[in-house]
Amino acid sequence: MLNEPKDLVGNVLYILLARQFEDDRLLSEVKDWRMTVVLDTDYYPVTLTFADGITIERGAVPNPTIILGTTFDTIVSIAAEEMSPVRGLINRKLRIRGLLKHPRAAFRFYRLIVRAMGV
Amino acid sequence: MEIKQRLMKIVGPERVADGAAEKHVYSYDMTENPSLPPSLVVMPQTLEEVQQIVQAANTTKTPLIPFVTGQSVGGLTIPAVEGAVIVDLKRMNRIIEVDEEAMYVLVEPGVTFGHLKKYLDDHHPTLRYTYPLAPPYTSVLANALLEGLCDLSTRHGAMADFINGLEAVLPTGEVVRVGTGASGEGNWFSRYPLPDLVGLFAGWQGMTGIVTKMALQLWPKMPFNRHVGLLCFGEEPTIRMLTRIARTQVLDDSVCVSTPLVKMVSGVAAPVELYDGEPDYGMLLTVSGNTETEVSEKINVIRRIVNEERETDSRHVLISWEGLMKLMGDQWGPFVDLPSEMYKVLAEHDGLTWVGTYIHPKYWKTVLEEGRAIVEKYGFELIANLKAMKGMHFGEFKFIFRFPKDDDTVKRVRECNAELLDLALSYGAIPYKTPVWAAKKLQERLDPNFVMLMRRVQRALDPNGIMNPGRWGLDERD
Amino acid sequence: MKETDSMVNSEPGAHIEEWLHSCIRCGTCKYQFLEYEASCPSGEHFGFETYFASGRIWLARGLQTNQIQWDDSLLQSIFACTTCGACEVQCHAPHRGHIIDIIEDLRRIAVENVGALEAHEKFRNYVEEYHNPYKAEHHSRELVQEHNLPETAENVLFVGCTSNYRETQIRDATISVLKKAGVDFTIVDEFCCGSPLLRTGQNKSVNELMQHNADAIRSSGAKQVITSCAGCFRTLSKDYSELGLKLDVEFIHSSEMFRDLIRAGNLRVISSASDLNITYHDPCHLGRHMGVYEIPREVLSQLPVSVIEMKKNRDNAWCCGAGGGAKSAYEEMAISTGKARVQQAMETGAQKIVSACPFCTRNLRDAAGSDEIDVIDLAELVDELTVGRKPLSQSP
Repeated sequence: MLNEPKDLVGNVLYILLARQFEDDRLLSEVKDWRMTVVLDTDYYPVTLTFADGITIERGAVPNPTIILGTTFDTIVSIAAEEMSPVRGLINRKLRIRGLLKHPRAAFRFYRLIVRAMGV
Repeated sequence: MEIKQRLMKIVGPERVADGAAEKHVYSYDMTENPSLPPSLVVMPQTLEEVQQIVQAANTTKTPLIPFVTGQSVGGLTIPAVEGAVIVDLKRMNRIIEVDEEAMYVLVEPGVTFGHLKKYLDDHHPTLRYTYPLAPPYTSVLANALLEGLCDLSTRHGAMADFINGLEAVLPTGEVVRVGTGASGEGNWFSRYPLPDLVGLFAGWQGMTGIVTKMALQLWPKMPFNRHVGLLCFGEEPTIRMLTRIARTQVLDDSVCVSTPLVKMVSGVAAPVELYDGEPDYGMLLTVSGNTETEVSEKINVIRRIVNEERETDSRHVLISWEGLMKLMGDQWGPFVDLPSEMYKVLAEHDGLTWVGTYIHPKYWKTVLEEGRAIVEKYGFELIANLKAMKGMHFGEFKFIFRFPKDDDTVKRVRECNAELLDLALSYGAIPYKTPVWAAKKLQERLDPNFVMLMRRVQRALDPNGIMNPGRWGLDERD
Repeated sequence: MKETDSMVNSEPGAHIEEWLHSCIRCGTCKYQFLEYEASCPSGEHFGFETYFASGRIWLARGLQTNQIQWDDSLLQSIFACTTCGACEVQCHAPHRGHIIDIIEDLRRIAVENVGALEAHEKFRNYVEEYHNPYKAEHHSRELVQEHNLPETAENVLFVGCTSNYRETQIRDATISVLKKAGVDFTIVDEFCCGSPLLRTGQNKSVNELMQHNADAIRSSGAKQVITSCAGCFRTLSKDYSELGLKLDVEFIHSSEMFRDLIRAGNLRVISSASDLNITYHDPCHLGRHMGVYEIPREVLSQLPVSVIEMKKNRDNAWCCGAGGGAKSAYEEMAISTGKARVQQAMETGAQKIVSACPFCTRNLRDAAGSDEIDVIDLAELVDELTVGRKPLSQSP
């Protein structure tokens, strides 16, 4: 369902998502998703490929469904509940590309990651 | 009478072993240092038995090697000479006294960090000792004698700095006490103002006697504690930040490790690499205080320094403990309770080693940069470990290797460690828990009169050269 | 034996080779993690590094890589271990689930190189001649006549040698419970399951025993095999499978049968109030080796007794001291280990130690000596405190 990446950002995503997938309902829902998301951080980009599960890989694939641009500091601030995701979007600390073209995918990923961050 | 018979008479036959199994198992430690079997192993339980063992060995000129719980490193419990007797002290494991007023504990050699922590938590919950990144069943006494690191080192220094005094059996058989405990029972409050004879035993790697009791400083368990993580890029900014933060004196402790070790703790499977774009180092900084405000202000001191550094590189990130646990996994939790529990990430193979050194702060960054290049050249996992020591009077650095003990890898580890030591020595660093091969390299750079003084002290205490002969490279009888 | 049965006896040394470079001797195996209580009976008894799991692993590595040569002085550290598996619970290294495999592998190689220990060889000879390790006259089929059991049945009660020839009260209690609960069962012409041989490196005769028992079970037509011996339970359900036996039956420990019979109402618990305080001893073969901790406790919870747990329980239970061939070859260690367990039980204030393994019962009773605590098996307690379902005509 979820591979264990060996890089730092990928491993952070793995830890966040693995906790959520203890919920079987969410797990079966996510299994049906088909999309590619690039998390483009100031450290390096990571690609999440949703296809019968999630594959997390270092690097950015060309033409992803969604690109979420941010910094690791912003991820940390959201995780520590020092910044809300909405505030992050308003302040352009979180930037979503592909939102207009793939609103459903963007919403799904946003919802998943917000849940994973526990905020 | 042969030494074996003498020892059996002292401790009973069941506590003397000279089978092939014991000779083999006691001839190694977890490091790459070469093995040499002892002639036998003896397991005393009392001071009187230790004394009689030493007297018998002194009479027969039998080499003795003190040994405690078995997690030995640096070849320190591997005999350097043939015919040695290993004195396994693990059954002397009493916590004899905890003095709440003067805040010390008096322990025997077999008391481990795990046992001491449990005992203090259960019986003296307002007090704490200091704990290393070592297995939980490592001897408290041995680690203090060997001047290792702990989780109060940034504030107080190496573990030897916690010693108030000790009891030892001299190589000639006399039982001595040093520190204020020499003035009577229940009085182990300080090693001063008497002449500081703890130095006759601390750092000597068992060459000057067998230490049978040690009084160690405990500290009040502060009501408020907080931990923060710091991810940082590049050796120079990392060392600069660590040094600046440590010099503010707000820290109880600092652990700075290369990112592969951060990832190991977070659960990344071996082999763990450092990828482009990842931070180079991660720090765990610990502060404590009597009030929440005091702790928050200490964190603010750290934050101010990090923010200043972020003006140059915004990728340096300070992470609250809650954020770190959320992003990097719950397995970080035990680290701050007892660092020993995190040792398991290093237990990947049958080999584990490092050349640990203490170094002048001005060379810290350079040695780290150049050491990293050496480790990368040999293709090992990059597991650097640094600690600001004693309020930043000096620094500690080491590169750790977890490795399978096949012949080729052992050879590579030896070469890499030798190169790292040469590098460290070239910058005036001094190794701790020093293997014989490293001690010999060190001797070449030490003032000959210092070496002469060491020999003179050692011979004065041990005229027959029975205590752990050959350690510190002091084997030539010139 | 059916042609489909393929006996897979892995090469001696395979486990050692797999985990050759995995133990740094961190010592975590020596103590109960975070509680810092002793966990290794052998290490506690002898003290030398060679008697802890890490020492044995290093010894295995030394022998496998020819750093040391075989001689008799190696045997005590290899065999003076109850293979209780407590080290596997504490260990955090990659080989944590395989320490007993490594030790048993080491024992197989030891037997090949220097022969079995005299005490172990003795019971192997008895097994070969008498089909049990006690040199007792083989008589399991006589029980069929004695208890008027059918030739074929849904269930087989695999009595086990210790119940059948030493702790016969456990056998009798188990039969009594099954009969009064109306269970359709029989007893087959069972041979020793082979556990004592597997645990002591004497694997060669085991295939023959397994073949005989497999054929006997098949001929009974049973779908389920019940045993009140934790050692037999582990061997029949785990070792036989690992040895390649494909037997279309389910193996269960009698505690599971007792629980289900009480739940289904086939056994009715005597309702009178009892002030009996008992403590439950987890047998290593049932607990750590097979993961059965709660079922016996569920049985006890349905009986009119108060259960007081020992401080060391479930996966941290202190071994009784008897297993792994220790009782026959290292009696002093077995008894001192058992005494430590009895002491832990007495600290609870319980009047009885209840175990679910005849071998534990035997050794704990030997260790208890004149101590004021009884040692009984779960089957005995269930038999004592239950009656069968009332015939329909007598129902209210």
